[in-house]
Amino acid sequence: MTRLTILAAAALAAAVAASPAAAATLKKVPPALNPAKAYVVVEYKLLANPYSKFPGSRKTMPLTGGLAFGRYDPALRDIRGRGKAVANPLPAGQLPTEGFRNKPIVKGDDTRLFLIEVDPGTWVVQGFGNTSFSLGSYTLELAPGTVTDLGVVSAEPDWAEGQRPPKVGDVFKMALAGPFAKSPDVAPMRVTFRPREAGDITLPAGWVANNARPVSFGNGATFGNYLGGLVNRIEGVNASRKAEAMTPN
Amino acid sequence: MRHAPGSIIAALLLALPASAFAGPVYFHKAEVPREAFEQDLAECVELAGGVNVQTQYVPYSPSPYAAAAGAFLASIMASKQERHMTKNVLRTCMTDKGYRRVEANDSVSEELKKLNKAERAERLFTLAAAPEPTGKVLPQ
Repeated sequence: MTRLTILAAAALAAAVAASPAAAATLKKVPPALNPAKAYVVVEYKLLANPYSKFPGSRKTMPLTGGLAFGRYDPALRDIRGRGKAVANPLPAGQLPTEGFRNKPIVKGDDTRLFLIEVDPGTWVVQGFGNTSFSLGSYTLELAPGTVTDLGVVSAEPDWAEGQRPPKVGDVFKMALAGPFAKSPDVAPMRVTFRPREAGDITLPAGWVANNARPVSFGNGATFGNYLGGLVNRIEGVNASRKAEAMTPN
Repeated sequence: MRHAPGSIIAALLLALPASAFAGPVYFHKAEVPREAFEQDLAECVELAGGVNVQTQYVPYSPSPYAAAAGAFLASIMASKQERHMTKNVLRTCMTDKGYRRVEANDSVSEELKKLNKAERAERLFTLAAAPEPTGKVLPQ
């Protein structure tokens, strides 16, 4: 039985290794650039812990969610092989989405640097954490043998008017009432990218630093909600409304 | 009168009260053309349909009664969370398209209860496109 299990596991591992992965978050920098692949570097600013004033609490939240990237069809305006772009599927064995994997190549005090190896083509920033940026997101054209630097990404909840994160007292009430508690407000995430500057994590010396070029995003990509969570615009629907309301006429 | 089925479902969904003590909530955008409203609503309903909450993990218990009770409560929480997220997706999406949420007043609420599905959908379209919202305008 044990031998059968081992053989089955080995066969599965061989099949996975043989299938062409569309993307992979790398644990460490490979010795050389693969000219058939494209690379993306991105630095995350860790989210502030809203309960950091509670004794013994950490200042930042652990990085449990992050950016998800999708293979995008700009003509059919959807993720390849899904919804409106069902007629343009990916080759067998390739996945349309590269979800977040917590494998940083460099760790800073409140930052993490990631290196992702992907198949060249048109990609879209599909989401962050539990949020799909289906209402409007950024596209990236990734050419083979290139390293694209997305800069530094910061994420925050995009609270609607009259909503707020639960306070410590609310959390205790929810714990006591269990499934009969009032559901807490939920907010989709929004993200902002800024170019790398002094004080940010330095890119690894060698082919990554030598080839890295700042990203040039395309705008206005829309697609279905395939991540199963909330939706938003990448800049935040609610944040944009609030900014408009505060702008003097 | 032609309606997209998705819009009728959405219109009926929107007619559900926001809470046990609140009136039906609908989306309002003054003078919005019917075609545009149906298209906006259909797009948002499609996005809301993508919400998929996994049933939460129930720890193993040697007592079948405790395990059944745990699974029951977990399923209540999952469906509650899914409804909550679906409403959030509709709210965010319709806000993005320039709509405001309106809680219908008592007279409209009573009127809607007496209508059948098709009539209610028709009435909600009229309310959505009215020059002024009928009821309390809720936070965006």
